[in-house]
Amino acid sequence: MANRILIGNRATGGYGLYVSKSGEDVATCNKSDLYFWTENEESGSNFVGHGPLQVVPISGGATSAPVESATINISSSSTASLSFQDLVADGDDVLIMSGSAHPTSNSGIGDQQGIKFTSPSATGATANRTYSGTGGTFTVFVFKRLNDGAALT
Amino acid sequence: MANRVLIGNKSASASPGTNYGYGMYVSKAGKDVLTCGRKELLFDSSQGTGASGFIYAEGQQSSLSSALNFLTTNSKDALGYIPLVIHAEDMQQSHNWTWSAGNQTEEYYSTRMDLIKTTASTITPIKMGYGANACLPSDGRRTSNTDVGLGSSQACTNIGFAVLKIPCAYGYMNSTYFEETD
Repeated sequence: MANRILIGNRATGGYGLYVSKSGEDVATCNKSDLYFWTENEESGSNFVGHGPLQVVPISGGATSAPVESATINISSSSTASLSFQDLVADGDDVLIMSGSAHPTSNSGIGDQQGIKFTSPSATGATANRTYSGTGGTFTVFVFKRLNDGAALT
Repeated sequence: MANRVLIGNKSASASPGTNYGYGMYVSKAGKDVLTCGRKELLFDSSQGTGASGFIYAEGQQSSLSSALNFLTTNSKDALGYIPLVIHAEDMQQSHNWTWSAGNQTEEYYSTRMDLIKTTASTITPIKMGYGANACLPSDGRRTSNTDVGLGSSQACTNIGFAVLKIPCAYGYMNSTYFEETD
């Protein structure tokens, strides 16, 4: 049986917690074969980050059941506010995804229906129409992410 | 308070599952990690990496117009498969356009314009083609206002992405990578 869990000093990675996938020696395997690891061996701001993908609750989550999605309506107004729980350091640390029910038939340029988010903070963002002529109703999820290596060192 | 963290042998006889064994397990609040089922676990090392949804790489770009290699920083090993990449950008919208040619009317419609192509090491913004025999996707985005009735540029801007350790390609979405037991 391979060594699967290491709490301590790894030759590549230093002190931390490491868990390898089945059949891989946690002390020597490639990073791609690690199930979980805490070391930060990366630099720069564009490609770091690891850990579980985590939804940021819109509300609740600590003492009550989390509300995992929000409904944003930008039909009558071109902007709307989105609020969520404070689980990140700043607005660059969230990934905001949306979806909507699209019409089965329509035509013309006016049917460009979309949403984008500006001014993200640790607790919210502003929803905007991507095309000024068309609004809509969108379901929105917020995911936690790490912006740069500093959060891991 | 329930037992929440187990490093050791999670007994199959005490838990609703058959292939736990030695590993590291973390349960949800209020759930006993010794006896709970797999759906109550926040962390479960007995599953294949493909079933976990763990982030392998992530990042953001203010704009992206060509392939971006998500393995390039330091020594990030190749995964050996095309992973599932989730992303969000400004262009989260549909696009519908009609035009007439002679006595015919054609319609172009896509539910999403924020399309990306994923390989084992890169992501690339792409666009769908239009017109007879030309509907295949190609690299890049439409940015010209005269192109299929754009009301605005559909360039890829403010993109954030997460590369998940989930195989997402034909031939790799199988038990070799997922090892699901429940």
